Amino acid sequence: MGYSPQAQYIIDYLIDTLIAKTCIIENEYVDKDYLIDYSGFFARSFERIERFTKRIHFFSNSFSQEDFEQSISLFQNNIQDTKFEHDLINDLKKSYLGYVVIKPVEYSMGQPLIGRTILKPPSKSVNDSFDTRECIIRKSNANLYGIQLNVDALPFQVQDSAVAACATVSLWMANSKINELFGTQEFSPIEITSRATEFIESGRNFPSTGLTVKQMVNFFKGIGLDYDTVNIDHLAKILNDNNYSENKKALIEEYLKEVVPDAVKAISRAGIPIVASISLIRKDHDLIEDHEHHAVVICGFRQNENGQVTKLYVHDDQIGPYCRVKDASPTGKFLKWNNEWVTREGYSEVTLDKLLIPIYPKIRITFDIIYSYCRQLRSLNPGLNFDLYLTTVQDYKKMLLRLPFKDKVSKLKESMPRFIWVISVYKGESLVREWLIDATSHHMRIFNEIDYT
Amino acid sequence: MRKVGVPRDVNAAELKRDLDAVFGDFKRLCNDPNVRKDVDKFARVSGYLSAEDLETQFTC
Repeated sequence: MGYSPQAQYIIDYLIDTLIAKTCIIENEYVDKDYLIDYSGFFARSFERIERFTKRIHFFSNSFSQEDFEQSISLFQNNIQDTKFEHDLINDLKKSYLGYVVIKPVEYSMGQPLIGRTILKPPSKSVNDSFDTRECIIRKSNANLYGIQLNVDALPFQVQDSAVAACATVSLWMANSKINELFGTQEFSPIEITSRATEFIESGRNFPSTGLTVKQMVNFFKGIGLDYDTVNIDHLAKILNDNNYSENKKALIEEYLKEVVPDAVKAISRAGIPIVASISLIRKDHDLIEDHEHHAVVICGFRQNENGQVTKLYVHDDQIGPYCRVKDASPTGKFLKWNNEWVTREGYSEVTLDKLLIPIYPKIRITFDIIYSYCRQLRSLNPGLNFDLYLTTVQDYKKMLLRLPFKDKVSKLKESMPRFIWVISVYKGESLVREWLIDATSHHMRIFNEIDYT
Repeated sequence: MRKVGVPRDVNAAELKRDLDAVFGDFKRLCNDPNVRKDVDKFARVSGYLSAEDLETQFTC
């Protein structure tokens, strides 16, 4: 895997979090994403660059190469022996942790680039704690010498600066889940950069110098989606603008306190990855020396037993998959981040500027609209807790089926819109009611109430 | 893990009455055109992307 910082991060993640014991290397693997990037860029370079990649599969079981090869050989001779199949194949399948593709393209430090990486997310339960982790996953499989291996995870890869920078790769990571949710097409990094830059822009398209926010939202629109924005940066500027009233500023200050964890919880529940625009700031004696914009994908969060978000998980192509982000903001939660950019790369500050939320156009009630109502409920009823999330009728009914509530059969029989905003009402830690709002409507239409009392 | 149902130390009838009242208020909020006007106004601010925002380039 080489010695790039991302490779080192992935190795640490495999050893410390996933407790990987064994790996199998496929030395000649045809990776579709890389092949498309290759044909669009590298095939016309003078330098000889390989078409094949290397793929490394990881397992939590220990076994030797000899045992593995012997098992495959025996399996071919005993194909009818179901018990043997159970022992050999199921053990492999159960202990599968995912794979990492290594591209034959070198990183600037002479290290190979990490391609499509699909590794299990950190487990839902947290040792010695009531905390839980929620990560966005998609169903993926790999075929290793005829053995079907499954892993549920959000794909990750590192930017190949010839065809993509961080923004393209963030779109690629987000789109790998969005296409499962909303039926959009899959694209390789070079295709994403091409689509996002198809209008006349300043600067070259390739080698990629990095997309702008406009190009990113162009991409969403171009694949038939729309987007919602939470522009934290803009709101923070208003707080320092003397042209705005104190009332307005107080309203914004209150909004910024919880909007990030609330948005992440609300949107992640629907499985939608949020693209986060962050600023990496290096200071020298309080003066800004360097300010760069970076795009990452929020792919999960950790919450305590009261449902408060204590950590975010992000796919950051410059660091690695499922990077932990701690809150470093004294004002609003997660407006400033503490992660490897500060602890490893020596940046003074990481600020969250914007959340870009790719949305299916039929979801007409935006996060901001429904969130305003939810916040009003919170301020009017301090004795109750209100949580907000977006879901689909299939997922919601699947969840309802497992819970006890009033008029269960008739509620389950009722037809519901495809997309639903749910306001969950808690008394202490107990869920007591849920109010369902039609997300496909142009106005706030409450169409149902679930009574858990 | 969060629980489902009436908490042990809470009177179920009182809780039901309170929740029905809150639900009534919520429905009124949703149907109030003035509330919606304010909500839309704030959403236009929080979701606003200026020309400068749109030109922000991700160079990392």
